[in-house]
Amino acid sequence: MKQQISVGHRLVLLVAFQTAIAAVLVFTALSAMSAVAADARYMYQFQFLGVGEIGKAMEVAARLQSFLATESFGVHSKTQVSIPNVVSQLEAFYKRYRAEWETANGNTPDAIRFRKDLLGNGGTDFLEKESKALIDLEESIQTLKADEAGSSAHKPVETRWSNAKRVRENLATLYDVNVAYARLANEHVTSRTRSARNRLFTIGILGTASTLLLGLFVHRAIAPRIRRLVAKVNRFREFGVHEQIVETGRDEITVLAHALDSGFAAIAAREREREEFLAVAAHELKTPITSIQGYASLLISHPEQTSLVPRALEIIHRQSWRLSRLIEDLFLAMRARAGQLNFQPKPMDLSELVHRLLLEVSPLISHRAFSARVKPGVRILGDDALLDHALWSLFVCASALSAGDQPVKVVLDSAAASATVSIDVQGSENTAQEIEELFTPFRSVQYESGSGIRAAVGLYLCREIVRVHNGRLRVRDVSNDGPEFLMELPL
Amino acid sequence: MTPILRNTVLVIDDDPDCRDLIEALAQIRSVPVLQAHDCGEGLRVLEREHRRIKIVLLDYFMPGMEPAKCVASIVARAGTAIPVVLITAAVNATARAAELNVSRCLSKPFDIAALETLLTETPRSDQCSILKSQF
Repeated sequence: MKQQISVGHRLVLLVAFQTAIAAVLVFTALSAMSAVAADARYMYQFQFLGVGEIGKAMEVAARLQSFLATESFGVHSKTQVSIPNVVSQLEAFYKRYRAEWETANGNTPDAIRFRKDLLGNGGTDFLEKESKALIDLEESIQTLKADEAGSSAHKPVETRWSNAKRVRENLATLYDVNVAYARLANEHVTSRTRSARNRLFTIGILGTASTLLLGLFVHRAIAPRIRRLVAKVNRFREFGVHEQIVETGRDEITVLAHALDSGFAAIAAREREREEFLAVAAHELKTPITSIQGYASLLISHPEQTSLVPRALEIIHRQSWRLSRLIEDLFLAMRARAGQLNFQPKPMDLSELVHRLLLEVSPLISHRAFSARVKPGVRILGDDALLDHALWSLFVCASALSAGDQPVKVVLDSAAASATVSIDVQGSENTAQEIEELFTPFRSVQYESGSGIRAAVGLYLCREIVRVHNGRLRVRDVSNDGPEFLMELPL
Repeated sequence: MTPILRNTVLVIDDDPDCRDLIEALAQIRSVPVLQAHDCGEGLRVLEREHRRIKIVLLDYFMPGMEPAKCVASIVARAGTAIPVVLITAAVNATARAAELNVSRCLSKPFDIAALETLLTETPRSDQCSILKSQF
């Protein structure tokens, strides 16, 4: 059998895929946001803060240079500058720069990362410039420091000014390098942000496209089959014709299709059964009507045939009885089929009922006799009217099925818990199994007795009547003479 | 040697009341009738009396032989010289007749006048008509 993924599994697959795509998108977005946040911190702490601090150091160096320039002209500035303090500030800046912002030889993660970026993009010139600028700066600061440590009188003020100028120039070089660093870092960060955005966009597009394709796959695997089912249902509703619904596989739609198919088949079978029943009913009813109408017409068209009158009346009377029974049987059979048999049990004498029915049915079945052995006083709790119909149908059916002129044997007996009525079908060519088929509801098996009585509808009704009495009606082979009906009713 | 008159109607029907009705009407019109309660008996009568039978009235539903087989046996014994008329209480009498390749049928309950016409007419085997269909 063709293996098929169930509809539930398909939908689970689709939802799982959509969830995975959403998870990847969320994860990528979070990563991108983290990267942006990290870049923002990096740009501030490693790039802009360094540039700012260099600017401050340059300002300090410029103040010192300006102070020394004033001194060199023999003018004492109103603003007193503590040269050791300035040198100390410059030294502190230098050390801090080396520790926190140096890229060329720094060991901080930011420095290592930025250095890698620079090396990857041909930025070695900047690294060399930074290294050189730092060496020069250190030397110039040390020179400045040495100037102040010795006697100021030994160093002309111009030399000291020149040294201060060198410090400021080295700082300016370092500043330029760091501004270039900031520009490159900004480019890298912008590039990384763009990459993250593109990655997010690509995953979104691919995820959406994949989800769409998977959705289409699920749709194609489900929707056309459901449309086919709906078309079949509509055709069945409009035309009442059952066309077999073919669905292979084992998924839920196949299960639904099979359920619909069997449901439609059952409805169609019920419809056929109803049509057959109507055909049987029409046939059953038309047979006695033929005799009644035929003899009545004969007497009307040939009133001079007075000798025919007794025979005609006898037949009309008999067939009218039969017609009445048939109509009652059909009505009760329909009620039984709908499960609405009106069952009103009362204590009753079964022996008396069997006696009475045999007396009534015998004259109506020509050329057939009944031999009865009825135990007197067998009383049961039963519905007299329903049992009347059941026994009547059984007597008629047994007479119809019995061969030749042999009498139909009827025996009523009782035991501790039940009463039994057995009716022999003498010399029948039918087996018990064949007769059993006549119990099928409204079976359109046509059989007719020598007297023309048909009983295809009656047997189903018989069994239903016995069933509501909590009894049992069956056919069994008991002898070589033929089968027998056996009705068992609880006492 | 006196020629045998082909004037008798053979009625094959398991309903004795129906057979009696046809015979009663035939007697009024002085048409001889032979009765058979099933196809087997009808074939035996046909075998014996085929030279004087002018028409066979055959019921559709009867115990014993199937209708198609019954008609085929009648034709095998009597040829097409003796027409067969189907009489049936079935709802679709014409369809039943067509099934059996029988050209005429009489739907039960039938009109007495139509039956009288059928009993007294000189049969034409190629005629196809529904004599009466009330149901």
